[in-house]
Amino acid sequence: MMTQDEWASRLEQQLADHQETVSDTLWTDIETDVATRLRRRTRIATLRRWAAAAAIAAVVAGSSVVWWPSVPPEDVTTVEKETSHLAISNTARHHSTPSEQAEPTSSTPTLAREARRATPTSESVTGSANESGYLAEPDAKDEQEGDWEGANYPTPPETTVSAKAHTDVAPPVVLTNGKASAKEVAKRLKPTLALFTGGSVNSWRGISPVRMSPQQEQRFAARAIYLAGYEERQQHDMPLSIGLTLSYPLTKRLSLSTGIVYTRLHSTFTYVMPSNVNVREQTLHYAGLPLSVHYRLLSYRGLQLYASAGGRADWNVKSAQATDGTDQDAPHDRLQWSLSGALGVQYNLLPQVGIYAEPGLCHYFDNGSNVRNIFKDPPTNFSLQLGIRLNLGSKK
Amino acid sequence: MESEQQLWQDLRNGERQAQRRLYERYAGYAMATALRYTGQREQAEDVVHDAFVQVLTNLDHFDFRGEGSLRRWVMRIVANRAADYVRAHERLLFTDEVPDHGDSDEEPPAEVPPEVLTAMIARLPAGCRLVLNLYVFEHYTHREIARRLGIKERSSASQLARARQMLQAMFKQYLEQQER
Repeated sequence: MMTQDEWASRLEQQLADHQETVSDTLWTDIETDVATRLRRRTRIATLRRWAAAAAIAAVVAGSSVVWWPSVPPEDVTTVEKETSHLAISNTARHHSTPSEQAEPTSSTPTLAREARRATPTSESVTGSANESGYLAEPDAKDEQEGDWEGANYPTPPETTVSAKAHTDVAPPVVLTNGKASAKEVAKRLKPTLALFTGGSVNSWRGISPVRMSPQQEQRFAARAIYLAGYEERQQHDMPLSIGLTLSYPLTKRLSLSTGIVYTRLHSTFTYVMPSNVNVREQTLHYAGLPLSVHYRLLSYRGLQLYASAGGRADWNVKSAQATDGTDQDAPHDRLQWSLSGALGVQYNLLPQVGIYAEPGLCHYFDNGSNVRNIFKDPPTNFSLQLGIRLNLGSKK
Repeated sequence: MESEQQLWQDLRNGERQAQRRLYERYAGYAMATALRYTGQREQAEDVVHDAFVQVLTNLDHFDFRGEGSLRRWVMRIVANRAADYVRAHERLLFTDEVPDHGDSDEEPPAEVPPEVLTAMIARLPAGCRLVLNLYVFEHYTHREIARRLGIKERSSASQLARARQMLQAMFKQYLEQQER
């Protein structure tokens, strides 16, 4: 009695060394195609290098725009004083009569020094002044006389700047009760933008035996028979995630964050048989939507310690699979939910820019899919996220 | 004939002639394999073309493990390409209603020449042909075949049994014709 396997073996032996003829032009076609593909591959590699360089340059340029020193809000009043002072002196230069021109020009620095030394309560101060000497809301009379609101120092008597010139001066921000409203603005909390990379810190490798088919097992009246010389190996590489998140502060310590994350999973499955080894490579691409809360625990100078917890939904947007180098249709994974918790530490290099590290734990829920990856083997992983946080428009 | 190791060395060094030698050495075997899967010469040549392009553009990914490993790698790529071609271009019908006859006395007769045997396999229905090739020549288990084709293990076993039945019938018919 010849078994199925014996029959198969006999058939294989009969065709073991069989060859068929091929057409004469086949090699020419192959050679041409190979040359074309290798040229294209070189071109793509060059383009990728340029794209990477452009991305780095964009990040550097973007960071420098944020980093470039901007006027701190609390100096608004000082700047406005100087601006109004400059406006006065410029106007004096441009609008006075020729006979007066020399005097204002030469006296402009003098005007500034005099103005700074002058007391607020001098009679030459136009407009109403409160007890502190700062101008309050100007009244109509002052405006008509072309008073320079915002200036909290008097005009020296020797100034010959005409009244008309005053009206050409752009009025600065009105000071109210001696405090600039910009200070109030500066105190408002601002959102942050984070760019990060990270993923599980562990890869996973496993070996499992191969069972005989159930029908065969029944023949031997056995519950489980493992085939000698057969083996399945799995290697899940460390996943890589890149993301962009926006964090909005709810309170001084608590903030809510969301954004978008790209994750790449790569796995290698090796099927070992007595006379053959098949290797299957699987690459899965996910787009994820995270949602988490951050709580600032400690803050010391530029260093912050915080805790974060949240969840994420990952969609498998693209899958690729190849067995022994041959591309195949790859099944898609189902929607993957996960929960994570982490402790983070951030150091602010600049008021606007901080770098952070966030080690933590992540648990992936079983989504019932047959697609094997590191989300399932094992479901709970240690993770590490490293990134840059940009404080959008905040002060130190 | 030069050893595979020598051929592999030359391929690694980027010699264009070595690529031609690789093709000439294994094209015949590749064509026989592709013909077993596709059943038609023109399609089989397409498969061989794609397979060799893949081999020659992915030499960096191959790890030489001794004499015979280069041939096995090339043939595996050809078989995978051929299986994908059949799945993409032919209508596959898998049924597990065919009774599994299991063992029998019949065996492939040695009198059937290899080219006739290849032609007989090419005449099998696409599903049976695919399962037969994967099981007999690529040594896949039914479980692996089921996973690869997205079918049940039982279906794979049934397709193989059906292929065996049909081939035995073709052998019998061929031998009867030869006797006349």
